[in-house]
Amino acid sequence: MSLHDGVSVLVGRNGAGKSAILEGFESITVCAIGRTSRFRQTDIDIIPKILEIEVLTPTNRRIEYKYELLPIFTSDEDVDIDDPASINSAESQFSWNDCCRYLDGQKEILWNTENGMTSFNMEEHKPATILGNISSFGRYFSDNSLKKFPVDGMQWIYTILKRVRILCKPTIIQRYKRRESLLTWSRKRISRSFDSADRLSEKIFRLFDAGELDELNSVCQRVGLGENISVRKFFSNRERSEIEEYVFSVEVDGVNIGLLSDGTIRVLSILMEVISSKHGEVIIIEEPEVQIHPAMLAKLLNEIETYTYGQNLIISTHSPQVVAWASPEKINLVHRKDGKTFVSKLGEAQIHNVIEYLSEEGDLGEWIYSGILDDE
Amino acid sequence: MNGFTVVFSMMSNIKIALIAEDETDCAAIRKIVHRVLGAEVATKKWASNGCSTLKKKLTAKLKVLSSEGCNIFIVVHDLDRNPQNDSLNNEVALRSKLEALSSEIKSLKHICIPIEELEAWFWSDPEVVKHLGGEKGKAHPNPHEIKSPKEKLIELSRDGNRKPRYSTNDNDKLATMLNLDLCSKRCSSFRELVKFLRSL
Repeated sequence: MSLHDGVSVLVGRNGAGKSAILEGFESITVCAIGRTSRFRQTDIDIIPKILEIEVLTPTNRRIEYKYELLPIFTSDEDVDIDDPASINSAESQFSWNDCCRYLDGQKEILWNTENGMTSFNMEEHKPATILGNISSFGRYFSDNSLKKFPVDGMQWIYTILKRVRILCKPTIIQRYKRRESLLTWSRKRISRSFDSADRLSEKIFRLFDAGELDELNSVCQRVGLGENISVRKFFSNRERSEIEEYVFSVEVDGVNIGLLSDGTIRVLSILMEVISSKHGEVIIIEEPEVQIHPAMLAKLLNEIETYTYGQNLIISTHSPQVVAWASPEKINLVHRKDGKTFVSKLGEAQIHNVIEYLSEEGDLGEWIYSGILDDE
Repeated sequence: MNGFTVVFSMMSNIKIALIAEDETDCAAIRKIVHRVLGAEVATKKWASNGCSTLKKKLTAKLKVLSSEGCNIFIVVHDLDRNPQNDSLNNEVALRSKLEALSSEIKSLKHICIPIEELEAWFWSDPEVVKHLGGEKGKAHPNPHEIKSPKEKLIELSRDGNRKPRYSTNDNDKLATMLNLDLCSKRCSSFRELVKFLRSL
């Protein structure tokens, strides 16, 4: 899978492994490359325990990255198995072994992490070992000459794997019923967010707090989502307290965000994600079409196109409209065989055929979902 | 006074069908129509969501739009590049094909073929370019020579933080501010469109 030419659209049948690919990227960025080593026990089941990916570099070299999650067994005496709340709040600790290496040329190893120690080659092939995973590199080599990784390709793959923003599709029942989203700001912290509306409120509030709400407002106006996004503050009665504390709500055209439709919240969430992205990040959006009207989806795709221009964007989809928005060379076919997920691009002959089809017969969405690729 | 009444009465009988490849193109053309003929002119749009669908369904859609009261038809189709050799497709051949597909329509009709993309028009106007890119960009005397004009507008609109200020959802807004005379001078497809509208 190429991660250097902008848009990649993953298409494939249910169960082919599209979500697994996206979850894999997430777990790499959050855990193996990131620094998180603790998880709520309820989250751990969705993290792939062993993961191997192969990517193509801008110089057409093949890099393999793989990790293995290693649980650290701790005492569970604090967990009351009859108390679900206790289990849910319990955390598990993990460490990660990982290895990143070229699969072609001299098959150089870029780095290798085992039992909490990471080894790699410095310039002129001098070996080095650091405590922690590869993200600890900066802590040990902070002088200016060594700010960047020493070996070709190391910085590129590290950046690609580390700087990922992912927006998953909503679960089938995201909210049991609509309710106003009211969050509390106290001691410079926001009260815990519960559902998608609360989480979105929190993100928008942070944008407001940073004085950067104008951009979201103007994008919402041009896609027709709303004219004005505002934050309303309700001050608490604790006048004697020196701690600044208040309840706030985020409103779209005067309507509390928690009372908006699921589709509106979904559009707003995707817009927030693309607007907040920074140059060089990989943006992953799982099934952007879910809950969104086709006309709104067209406008949303226009915004996604604008904000991710020149960036890496990975989209998984079952929507002919989203597929038709992409060009044939950006399509990645996902299929599963013998328990493994494979990703492949359209071949040259297929691209030639589809270009002829696109000019006269139909769009890419029709072509992909016509079954023409099923026999391969 | 009488002249005004006559013109107004004529315009109130007009219902223009706008046919283009996507919603943003339809919205931009609608703005141009209203700027030339007045905001009271009724329009009805069909965005085909793709060039092949436009060609495949054009004949049928024109019939439907005609039966819904449209008496003037504007068909907008980009002159795309061949992705395999990057050259522009044959404009004459495309126009002939669209003429043939719409031959059953006997009333007033105009086929507009922007070179590569309608977004090229916006590059004709220094004020639009300034609106998007500040002092960074320069209007182009021959916008049809710009390759990937849409992507170039996105690039132009990026600020210091690389945040873009333009998306194609802005096309109708840009059409509102576009200098009609300058764009007519610099873009032949636009010139012919405005000429057609002014002839109504």
